[in-house]
Amino acid sequence: MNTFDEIIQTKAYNDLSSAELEVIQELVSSEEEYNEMKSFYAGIDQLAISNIEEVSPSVKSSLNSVFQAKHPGISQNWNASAEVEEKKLVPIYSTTWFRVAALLVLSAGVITVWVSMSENQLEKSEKVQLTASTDSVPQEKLKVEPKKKFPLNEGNEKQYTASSTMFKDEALDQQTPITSNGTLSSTATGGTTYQWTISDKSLAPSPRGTYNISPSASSAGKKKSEDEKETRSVVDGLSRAGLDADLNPGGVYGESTKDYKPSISTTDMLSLIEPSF
Amino acid sequence: MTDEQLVIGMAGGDQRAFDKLYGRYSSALLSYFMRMLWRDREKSEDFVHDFFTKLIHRPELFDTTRSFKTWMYSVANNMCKNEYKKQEIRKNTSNGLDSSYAVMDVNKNTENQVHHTLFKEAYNYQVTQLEEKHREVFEMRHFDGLSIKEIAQALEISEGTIKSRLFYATKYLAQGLKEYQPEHTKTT
Repeated sequence: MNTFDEIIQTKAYNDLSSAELEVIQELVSSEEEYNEMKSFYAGIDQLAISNIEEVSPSVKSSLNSVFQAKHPGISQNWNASAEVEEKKLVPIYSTTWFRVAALLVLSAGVITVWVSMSENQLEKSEKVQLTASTDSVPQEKLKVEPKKKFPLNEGNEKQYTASSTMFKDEALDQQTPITSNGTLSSTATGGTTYQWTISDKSLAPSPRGTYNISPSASSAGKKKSEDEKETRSVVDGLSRAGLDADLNPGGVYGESTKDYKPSISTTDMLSLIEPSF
Repeated sequence: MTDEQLVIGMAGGDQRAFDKLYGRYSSALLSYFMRMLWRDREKSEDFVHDFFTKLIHRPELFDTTRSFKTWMYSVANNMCKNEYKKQEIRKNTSNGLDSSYAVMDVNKNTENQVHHTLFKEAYNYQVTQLEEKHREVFEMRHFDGLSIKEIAQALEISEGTIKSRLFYATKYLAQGLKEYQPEHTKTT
């Protein structure tokens, strides 16, 4: 709660609450006395303002010397700090070394971009050339590449040997025994002997008398599988050729061989058969 | 920064803290001494100088848990009491008025200024008729702007006693200055 002087100074008599009236009732008993008291405080306030005194500067200077005597080291520092020239603050982007570094980085970036762009351009032009050449190459290759002869012993690890002895027509009735080791032999007295050896064990004969060449279990690569395919076709051809030779030496095809189509032309087949003299 | 922080800084040798503290309280302290020491300016300035010299040399005298303002008035009050003891003739030497009050500016002819001057003179007379204990409470309240609690702490008296003294001083002065109240400050 405010004291009586605070109430009188801040409030009008009509605004006073019952509690506030109770506080001031010892000092003032009526509105008139209340207002006189209000005037009194106003006069005191004016008096207080006019009584404010300013200390003469000599007091402060004397106290400064007392303070410096008490804190000599620190006061020297205080004076010293005022004399020291502060280093001029230069923004980092205004420094020479920063500008040089920025220039280097910028030029390095430009060079990198330029090099990569030129490489891309070169790559593109190479691609264009390559595309143009690819269009013409297969035809040329087809033209240039000589027709492959039946690869018998050339560049093939698998050794295919075929020997055939052609005799008389009595051999027609002879069945051609097929050995399980991949050797097909047809021997007939006075007939045709057709014999070849397949060193690859994976080439197993089928029960029907045709050769189904199963893929090699030990195939190690694409080249090998290609070789096997080639081998299969060769063997198939050879077997058919051998069968034909044995079963139909005169070239007259019966019903059993009607659907047979030799994979090797007759001329090729003949060239393979070396007469055993 | 608070007064207490400034005192701590000053004790550590920070002259800026001292300057700031001096700027805050030197005038109030001088006014207080002027009132308490018969408006003797030279003596009052000496007292201000002594107070701050003590603070520079022995800052540990100030308990930082307390308010610097109340501590300052407490020290100042004790300084004045010591001075009273030395003089023992306080009322006879100055009559509570200094030359500034004696010389009235008669050229100020506005009504308010006249009223104010008259009021001032009347107050200075009436205040000398008061007992010291009543006067100091009244002036600390209205001239130094301290609260009841702060006065109690500075003078190390209970708040009830302060209120009682303040009430008495107010009633006495208001009665004595009834005829000298400035015209313009009358009933609002």
